[in-house]
Amino acid sequence: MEGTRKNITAPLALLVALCTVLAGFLVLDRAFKLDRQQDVSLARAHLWLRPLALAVEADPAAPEKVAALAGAVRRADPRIGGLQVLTGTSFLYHSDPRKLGRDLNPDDAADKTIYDDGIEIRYLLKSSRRKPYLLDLDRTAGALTLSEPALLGTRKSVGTLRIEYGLEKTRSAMDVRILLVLLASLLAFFFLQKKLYRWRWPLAGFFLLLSLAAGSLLMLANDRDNLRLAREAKLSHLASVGGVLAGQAPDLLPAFAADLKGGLFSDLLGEWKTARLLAPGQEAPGADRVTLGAAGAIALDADDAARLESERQDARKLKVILTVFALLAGLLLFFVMAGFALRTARALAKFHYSYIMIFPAMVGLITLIMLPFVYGLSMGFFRVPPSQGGKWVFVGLQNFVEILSDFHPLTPGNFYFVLMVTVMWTVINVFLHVCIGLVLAIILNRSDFSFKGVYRALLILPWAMPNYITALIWKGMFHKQFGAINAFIKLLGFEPISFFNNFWTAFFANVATNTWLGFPFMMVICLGALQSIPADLYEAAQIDGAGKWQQFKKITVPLLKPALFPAIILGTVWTFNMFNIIYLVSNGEPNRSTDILITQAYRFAFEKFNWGFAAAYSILIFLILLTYSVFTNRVTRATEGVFD
Amino acid sequence: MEDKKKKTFREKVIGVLLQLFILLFTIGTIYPVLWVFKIAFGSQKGLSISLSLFPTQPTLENFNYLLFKKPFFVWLLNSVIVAAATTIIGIFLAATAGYAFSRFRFPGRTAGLLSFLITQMFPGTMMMIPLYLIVNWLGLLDNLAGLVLIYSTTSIPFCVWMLKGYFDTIPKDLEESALIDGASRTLIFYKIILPLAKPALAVTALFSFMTAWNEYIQAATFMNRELSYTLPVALRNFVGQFAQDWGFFAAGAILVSIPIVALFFMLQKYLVSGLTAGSVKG
Repeated sequence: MEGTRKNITAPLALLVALCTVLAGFLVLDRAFKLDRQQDVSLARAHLWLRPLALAVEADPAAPEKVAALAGAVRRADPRIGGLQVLTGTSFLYHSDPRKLGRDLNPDDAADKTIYDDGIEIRYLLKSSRRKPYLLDLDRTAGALTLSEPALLGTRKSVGTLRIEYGLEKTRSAMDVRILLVLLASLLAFFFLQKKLYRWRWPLAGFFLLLSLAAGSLLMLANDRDNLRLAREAKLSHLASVGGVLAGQAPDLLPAFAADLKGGLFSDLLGEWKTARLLAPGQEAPGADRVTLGAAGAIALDADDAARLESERQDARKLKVILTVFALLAGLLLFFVMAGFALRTARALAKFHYSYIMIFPAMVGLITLIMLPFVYGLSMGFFRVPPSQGGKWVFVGLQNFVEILSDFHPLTPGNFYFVLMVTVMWTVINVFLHVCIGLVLAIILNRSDFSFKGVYRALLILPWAMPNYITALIWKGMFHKQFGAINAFIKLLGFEPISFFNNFWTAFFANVATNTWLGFPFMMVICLGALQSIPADLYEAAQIDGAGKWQQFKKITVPLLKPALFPAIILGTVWTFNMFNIIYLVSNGEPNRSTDILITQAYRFAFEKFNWGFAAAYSILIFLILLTYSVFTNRVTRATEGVFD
Repeated sequence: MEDKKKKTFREKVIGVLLQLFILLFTIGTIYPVLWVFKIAFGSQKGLSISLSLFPTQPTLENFNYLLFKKPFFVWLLNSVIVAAATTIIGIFLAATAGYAFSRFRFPGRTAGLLSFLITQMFPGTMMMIPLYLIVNWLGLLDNLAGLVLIYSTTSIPFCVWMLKGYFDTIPKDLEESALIDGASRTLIFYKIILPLAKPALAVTALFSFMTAWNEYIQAATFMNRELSYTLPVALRNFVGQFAQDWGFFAAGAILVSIPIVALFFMLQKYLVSGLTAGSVKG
């Protein structure tokens, strides 16, 4: 019973998640479709109004011509619900025959709205920023109302045109492909989870992400199709408008073609930049072409700016998709987490005492170590270009690529050079720490050694001293004018050395300082471990005839290991990140060559203020140390048994 | 080794040589410390290149300047407050967490322990900028509380691991019998475990104190007014980019090191047992 119930929770969760995904996609798909269809309808309405406006503009005092053209327009497209052309206070055309040719009736609400529209458009024309048309979209009624001016010059309105246009019906057919993808991933999961039962939750997550990704791609492809269809619809519509115009008022055709390029109404049509009238038989390679029967054709050249804009819109859509995607992934996470939370809640109730005890430490750790760490981590993917006024710019992996691809291991300051110096620094230091510490510990652990306590106390002194003081003392010791080291060198009959003018001497100064600083820790660790080795082991070995060296190899070393290995790993990590010594003793001199990775990162952050680079450096440091620790831990089993 | 009378000549020679070696090594080790004394008690002008540990013109002018012409006692007070608060908070947090990690098996335990370990690998520079933002956001720039917050959390991981290791070595039977007698977990923790863990607590306290007392870089970043400096920041400024007052620095170094070295020696007997108890089980 338990088994079957277990088997069903993961598929069920995935099913629920997939259904949510499906619903999300359907909603999105429909939204995109509506968007496109509205776009097409708007373009169509606009294309009907323009010739009329042109007719009014050409000759405001020729009402018959306008009325004839408007009548033809009205008959050409059954979607036109109403069409009005108003100049001054009289209708040049009104789709309602009773009002045709009449003056405005101030008491008629419909008349009043078109008059108000005219005034508002006049107002809009004064501002160069705004588009001089009014659009009223009524989705429930399935119609849009568009008011445009007829212009004299560029910004003077001589009339108002208004069209009510029925929106196309949208087919909200479910995309079968999306359904299939979701179904397939559900089935695949169902079969796979039997084999990989332990991994069923990650598996479910994987399949959800997979179907989300596939679905998103399908959605984008659909949207491309929508775009293409919209374009074709606009072109075919243009052909029919051109046809009507060619029949009714061929003299307006050149003006109409020239006008298509947009101008004030560019965003209504949007896809073409220039339009020109072609004589019959004339070719226009590379341009969209609309044939107008005997009158010739209109060639439309694609508008690159508009295409860019539409691409930008695509990107925006992708963003929407990704947001939805993320939300859904979050939802899934929620479902998975809900199970997890349930378990956690049970655990919290059961082990509340433990959690209360670690809570304060954890809060501190998370807010002041983990959070800054994650923040620092994310900074590695950004950059602050000086030109952009301190704005973070996302650059992806560029920081890392720049650091890692610049392979000049012999140039001071280059990442690989600094890495080499750092590794050399760490290896030499840890080696010296352990050797000196171990030798001293073995000697001080001899039972017959006198003044043990005094020596031990004095030898611990370097550890007790604050390390920045140590560092500065040694900087003074290496001083050319009054340093003790140079006094010693002079005593031997040599000239005093400027330690920080040469890489090797500066490096030596750093190593000497850090060795002095670090061996007492290892000595104490070794002493502790040696003291805990039972003396009878040695006695037994002695009785068995083992020599001192054999005793050391077979008893001391193996029993030191459990204490020494963690100390070595820890010591390595500390030395690798030993900021104070490098920064305070050599300070990178000469020429930043003795810098290690951590001081280099610090300089990037606080001397060059290139925080993105500094963060990228820090991430690399972290990754190196993590790899090292995981690897050595595997090999030495240093933390074996610590977690039981 | 037990019967000392039978010591051979060879062993005696080895013993003397070892004594000599350790003696020389120790002299070499404490030489820099003594050298600091020479600089501190010497005149600024009398700095000369010599191995001698006695200043040519003994004087107290460095101490006089540092103690009475500089706000030394303000810096000292700052450092003491920060270090003491860090120690108290750090010990409290680390002891409770260490005890839980040592005694109880609860979901998330391994992950928690590992996360404490991994934080040791975070490069400090990466944390500086975010920490600066956090401290700034809390309004704690130029405020000792900001330093206390940062220091006590940075010292936690190491302390937790150390205390956990030590708690591991305390037999569980003690607690079990106390539990049977009706003692609560909290009572056991405070009345049995903590007293038994004195060595480790002492060492942990020492390290927390040292972390706070010795830290330089963050203090230098977060403290900008001269009166809110801690000692490391103040001392560093004597031998920084724009000054070479080695005498003042040496005098300060002695004054700063004395308390911490004294503390170190006081707690020395705990150092070995406290540090290694957890790791050595053989």
